[in-house]
Amino acid sequence: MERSGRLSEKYLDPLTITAIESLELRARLVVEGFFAGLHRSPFKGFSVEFSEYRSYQPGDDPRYVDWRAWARSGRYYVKEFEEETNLRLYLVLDSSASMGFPEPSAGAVTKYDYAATLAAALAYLALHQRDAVGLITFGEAVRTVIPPRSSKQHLKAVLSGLAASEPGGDTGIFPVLGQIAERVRRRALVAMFTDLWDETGRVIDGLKALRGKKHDIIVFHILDPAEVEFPFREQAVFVDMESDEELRLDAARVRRSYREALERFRREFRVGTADRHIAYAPVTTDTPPAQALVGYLGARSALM
Amino acid sequence: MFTFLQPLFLFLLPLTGLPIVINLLRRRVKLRVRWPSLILLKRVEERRARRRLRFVEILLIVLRMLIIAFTILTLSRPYVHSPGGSPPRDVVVIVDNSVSMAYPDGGRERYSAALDAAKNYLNSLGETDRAVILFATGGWSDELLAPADAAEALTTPPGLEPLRSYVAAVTEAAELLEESGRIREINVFCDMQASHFDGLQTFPSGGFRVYVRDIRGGPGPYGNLALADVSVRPDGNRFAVKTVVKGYGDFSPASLRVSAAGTETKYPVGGGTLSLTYSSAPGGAVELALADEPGYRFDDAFVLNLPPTPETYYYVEPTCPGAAYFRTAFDVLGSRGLGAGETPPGPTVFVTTNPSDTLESTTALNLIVPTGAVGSVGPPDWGLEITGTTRYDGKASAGEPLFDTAAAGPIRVHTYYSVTYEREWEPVASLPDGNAIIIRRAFSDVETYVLLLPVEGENAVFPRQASFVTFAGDLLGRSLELTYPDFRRFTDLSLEESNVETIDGDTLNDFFPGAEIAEPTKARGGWSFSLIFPFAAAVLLLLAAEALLAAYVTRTTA
Repeated sequence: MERSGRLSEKYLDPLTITAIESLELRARLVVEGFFAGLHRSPFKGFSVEFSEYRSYQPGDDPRYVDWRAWARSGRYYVKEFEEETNLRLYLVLDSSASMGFPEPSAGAVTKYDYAATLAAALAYLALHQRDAVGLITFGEAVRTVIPPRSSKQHLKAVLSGLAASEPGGDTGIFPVLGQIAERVRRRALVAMFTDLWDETGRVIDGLKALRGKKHDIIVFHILDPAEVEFPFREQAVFVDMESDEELRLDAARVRRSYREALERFRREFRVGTADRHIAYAPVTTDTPPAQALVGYLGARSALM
Repeated sequence: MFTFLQPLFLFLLPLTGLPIVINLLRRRVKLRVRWPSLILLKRVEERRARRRLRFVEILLIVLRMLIIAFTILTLSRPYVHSPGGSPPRDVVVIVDNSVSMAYPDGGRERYSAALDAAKNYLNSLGETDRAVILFATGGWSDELLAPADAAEALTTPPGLEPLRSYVAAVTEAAELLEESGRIREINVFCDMQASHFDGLQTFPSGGFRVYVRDIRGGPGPYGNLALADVSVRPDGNRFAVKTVVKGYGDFSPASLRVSAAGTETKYPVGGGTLSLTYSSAPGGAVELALADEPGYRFDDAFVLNLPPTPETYYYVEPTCPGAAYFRTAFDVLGSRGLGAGETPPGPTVFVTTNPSDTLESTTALNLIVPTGAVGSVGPPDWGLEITGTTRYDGKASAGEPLFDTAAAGPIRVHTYYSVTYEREWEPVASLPDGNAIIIRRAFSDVETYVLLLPVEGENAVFPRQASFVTFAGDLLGRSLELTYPDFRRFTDLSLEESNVETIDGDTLNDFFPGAEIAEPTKARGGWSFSLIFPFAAAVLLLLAAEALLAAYVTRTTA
């Protein structure tokens, strides 16, 4: 319990949770599975709650004919049910070495910490709505898998999984998306937290393939402000955190070009995912986590 | 021909490499960043490598180098002129009018040669040049004039005067040229006597062209000096005056003029030795003058005023310019008086002033030669050498006749010396008691000179003494160095003589850094054109181009 408490303190910023609860998380996606809380399923049929009658049509299953209504009215009516179902939320965290930026000695929040905070907030919220939450961390391959559960005690397991992962190793988003597509057979909401430092085209292809499996996808593109602003003004050697490859640059000379290239990079994802209704949310780690979630989920709910 | 008015700035040209150095320093890696991914940076670097930015940056460095180079060249004041021509000049002509310039070379006085050379030089200047004449011993204008106007000063040159150094004249020349934006030129027309360059060793000659122009044209320095040594001895109630004249080198035609009792006799001096005896009338005076032919140039060179009572004493009262040096010497020595009742030791000549004079206002110096001493005049062809020991024990005080033997009390004797006249050049005499005093009267083309050195006397003032020695050296045309092992007692005082040191092309810069030997005249002609404005315009254009490129780079990379 004590460890769980520490984890909660680490990842569940009370302000974040409060802010999101006030918005009433309304997922735009209705996933296959159980309804719990406020999520409504678009599917009619297997239900626990009557929805409406409609006239019998040829081909309807005779089991759903309301014989009492027939007895009263002499007409055939078929009962329809609206079913509340549990959201299956998969938190997919990139734990490659690049997510460890900036290095702890810099005294700032690493991208992984920030992503874990957001993921924990979503987990907390979802579990309180009796949604099932699972966790997948990955680097060059899937590293940790915690299957989705809807019990509130499951939060501890998710938080433990987040805390147990440390940034390291290479990034392999495309193969990981393939592995996720194989593992997650039932429709789910996949919330992915990553810096997306991989081959753009393949990553988009992987996301589209996953989307093709009927999963809904939110990509939180997490970057450090330094990655956005590129605040360097002098000659510097840049060392790739994953490959240790070195590149010598006059930072002042490439700053403008870098920022333009980053903008193009983000635009590629935004455009490449929009047509498949994959949500793309660029976030920097200096944005308050609550604000990041509220801003994004608020906008999504407006689309519902 | 391409030239620079301020070539010292060219030493700054290595600064042209500054942009490269700065660029290299900027390329030194000070920062090492562990970065999430090089994906974007690689793309950027590749794109950048393909773009013109790298070329522009190189162009920027080149532009900055050119800006520095052209700025330095502009500060160096570039000029282009035709071969043999020169850009406009501001010229100072310094003419040495020290006494050594009186020595004739090849029968011609150096001073005259210097004036002519200066005149020729001024005539060779161009119309756009400006010039001013300075005389080394002083007297100068503070205005740069057209060369012809400046040459006016040469028509009424000052006389020859003692000179210690050219420093004052050169300093004045530098001040005159300080504001000049042209080629700045200082010319010294002189006889290359090294001692006159004292003090110029550290003269900041940067920015000036300094030419030392040797006007000596004769066989050798100081070879034409003629001397007249005089001895006087009683001859009844007259005085027998013996004069020795010697000439050296190419001695110019000259004569010794002896005037006495209203008559004048000229004795030609042909470069040898003239010895004559002349008896004066009692109470008369004998005037000796060495003169060039055809005119007398050395009137009043030396006058013997013979006293009316020769049986008592003789005194010599020089009225020539050299008398001033007697006074100087006396002033140096005069504070050492003979105490009351004190007996002067050894051979004695009394030296005193006129009785009404004070130490502060001595008008003439009298050599009082006791009667007894005269009888022992030295070698016949020498000057006066006092070897006897006779003391004048009369007295004199202010307002009293100085040489009135009937007067009671001791004469006011300021000091006492033994005196030796020497012929020729040896100015040193050491007397048996260790005292030394030299009085030289030399008929030269200059004037009479006297050198007195104190035998002893704690009140003797060395700096003035040394100054006097230096001055005498200049008169002699020789370098005299006073040595004294004991400042307080001058018993071992000696005067050493050596040939005058002159400078030449090899040694000039040891005395005057940056100067160069030049012919007395230098022609000028052709055309010239200043490149300052074109170069300055180039700097401005380059600055504008640099600003545009820098803005482009900033906009591209910001």
